[in-house]
Amino acid sequence: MAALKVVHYMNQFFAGIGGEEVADAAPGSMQGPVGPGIALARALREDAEIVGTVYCGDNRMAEDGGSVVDELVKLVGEFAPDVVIAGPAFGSGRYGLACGRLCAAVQETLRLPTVMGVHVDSPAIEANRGVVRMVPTSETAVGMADALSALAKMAVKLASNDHLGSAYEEGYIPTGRRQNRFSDQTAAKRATGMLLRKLRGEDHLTEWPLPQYDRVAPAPPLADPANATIALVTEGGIVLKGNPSRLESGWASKWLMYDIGGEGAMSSEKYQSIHGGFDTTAASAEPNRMVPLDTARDLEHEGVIGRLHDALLTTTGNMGPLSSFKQYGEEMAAELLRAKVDGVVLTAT
Amino acid sequence: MKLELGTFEVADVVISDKSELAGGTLYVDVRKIRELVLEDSNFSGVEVHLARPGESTRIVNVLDVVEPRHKIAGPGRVFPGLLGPPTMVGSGRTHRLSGVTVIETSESLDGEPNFWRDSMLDMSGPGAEYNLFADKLNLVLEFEPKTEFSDEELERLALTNLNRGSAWVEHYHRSVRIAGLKVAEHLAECTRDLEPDRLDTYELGPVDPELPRVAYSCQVLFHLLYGEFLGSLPALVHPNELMDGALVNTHNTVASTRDATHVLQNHPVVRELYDLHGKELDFVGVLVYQGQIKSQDDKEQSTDHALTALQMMAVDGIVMTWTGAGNPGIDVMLLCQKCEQQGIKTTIINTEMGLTPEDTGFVHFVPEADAIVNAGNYEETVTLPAVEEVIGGPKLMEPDLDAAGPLEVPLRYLHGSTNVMGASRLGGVRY
Repeated sequence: MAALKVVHYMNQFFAGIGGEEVADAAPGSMQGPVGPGIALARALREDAEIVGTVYCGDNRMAEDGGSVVDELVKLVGEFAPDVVIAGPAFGSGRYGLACGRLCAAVQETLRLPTVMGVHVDSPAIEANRGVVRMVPTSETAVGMADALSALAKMAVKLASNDHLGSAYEEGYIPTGRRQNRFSDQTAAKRATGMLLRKLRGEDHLTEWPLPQYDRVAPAPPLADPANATIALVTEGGIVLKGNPSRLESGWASKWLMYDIGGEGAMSSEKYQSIHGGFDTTAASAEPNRMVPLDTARDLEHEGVIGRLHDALLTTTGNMGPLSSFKQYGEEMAAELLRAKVDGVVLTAT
Repeated sequence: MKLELGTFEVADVVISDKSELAGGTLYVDVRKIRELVLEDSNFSGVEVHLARPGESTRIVNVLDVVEPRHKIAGPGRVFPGLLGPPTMVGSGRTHRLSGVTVIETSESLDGEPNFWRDSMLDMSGPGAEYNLFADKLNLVLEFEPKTEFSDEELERLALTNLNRGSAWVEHYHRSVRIAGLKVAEHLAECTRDLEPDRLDTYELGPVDPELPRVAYSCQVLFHLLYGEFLGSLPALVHPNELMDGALVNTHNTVASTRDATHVLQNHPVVRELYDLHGKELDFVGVLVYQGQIKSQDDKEQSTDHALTALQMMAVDGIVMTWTGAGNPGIDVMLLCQKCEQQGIKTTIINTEMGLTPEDTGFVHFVPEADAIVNAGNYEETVTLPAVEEVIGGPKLMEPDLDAAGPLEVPLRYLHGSTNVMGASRLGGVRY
């Protein structure tokens, strides 16, 4: 098999152009390997050859509106490579983000595989997760040799279209994708073994590292509630009696909007809860405790709040994927903004 | 507490007019089974089917799976509190039929919540890989409910609680469970005077005091312990009690996370801890506690009591299981956090609920949960071929499909596939 052709991307510093003083260096390219590329070429052995090096200043990339990355992709394309290796960027934020942008653009425009090296705390991780293949590196260049070896191995694997195993088996940064697979042991046996390792103080290797959730900062208090429009929103499965719109009890496929403009309170004659995650008897008997329309109307009449929004937004928050609920939340927020609502009472179960 | 568990390997099941085990063949008296079931006037009939390994058969509307066991010596009956008085079990001698199960099926009733009711077992093809009972000879009971009601009973048909269904639905499901347990007890009775193929003795004898003290923390939701629901207080149970069927699950949550009675009788975590008792650890017992689904206060209270019990047992570590569903998952994480903060090490068997890569698969987690075993993602889609025979009803409920397939469904439709008690080898891999 002919050696695979590799293009290596680096920033101005590693490409030997200069330090921070030339961080706005324009895109450029050179034949063959440069700087750390020489060690990378050794790590690639006879499997692959570095045909060219492409570089750019980190600031130039950070301030780019699109033309810089387009030019870099063109420079990469001129070498007609099989795969692109970027970095390693280690813990450098700007460099890591630059590598990610270049790799993503190369994949999209040139349809070539790419791999970059980056430290796990770099902002480039979340910016590129699931888009660009990343291998973990040390935080500083002290781990250069290991990083180059991991990049070389992954690049050859990607360019040869070899089957790629799990993140744990292959050592890359997880993409976020998970897939079921049968183990040779039951979950009970794995859990017991894991507990014994933990009790002995050994590395016990969780099968499921904890995720990072978005943290939503609470909005500041309303400056002037007496002139504010307030909306009522719930995930408590409140629907018109008989559920004519067929909102699901779990795995909701939608959210609904009801006109409550002329209503003084939530009537149990008119509304019920179809939520599947709790006993809905009390909520259906007294829906005001799920959607506090009675109290909100009182506050409106007393002038404590300016106006109650005419629409009630409702869905069922039970089971279902996070992505769906994120979507419903965004859609509801857009609707509320469109209606110039200032604040929301969000009743959750 | 010492239990002798005698195992009889069953190689074949033959529908017959007598109940007998001879030469590895179990003869099943179907008339007797009908008679046992119809003792309960909630049934109008029952069909008896046999589903064998490798057959092109799909069993749908699966409610529970039970291993035939009979108490031969010692106090009580198997499934105490449901088949007889709540006599303490776990000692004496019990016989079990290995390789045979009793499967309860019944179609959904009016007034029954259906959004997580579909529950199936395939005996061959890709679905069989997920079926914990695909290698068993399964005696499938298809129950028919009665359709005539007294005026007083008619009131119970009203649907007031969408989560649990009408009072009649709950009542009928209890009848289904008890009927299945009765049949299971009956099937193993014929071994009374026979010598088992294998006799195992279960006893938590004294061990090297240097070994770490380990308990199994078993969360329950709609389970009956000696026929009763637990409240906010935990129960400390000897593992032998589970082997005699002291714990039975009665609720039909997401099928892939249902813990069949068969799994509770042969509890995989109990088996592991028993195997390691005296060698790697000191198995000190099973703490059963109730997942609280009404309020945060209930969750705090219940997990506080569970923690105190574990501290008084002076445990070093616990294996934790969870009942499935998001709400009780919060209690598991709370207990994990409280234990870790008190120096009790934990591992959790957890089932994933994520549909997309950006979905974390958790409802709640705590930073202390650093040792989690992934029992599989129940939202992953499986493709199942058409089958020649369907037992248990003609259709799936949601979506409304011909149960004979072919089907493309999430794994959560496959009974026990992402087993919350750790019985399955299924796991999750990160890419």
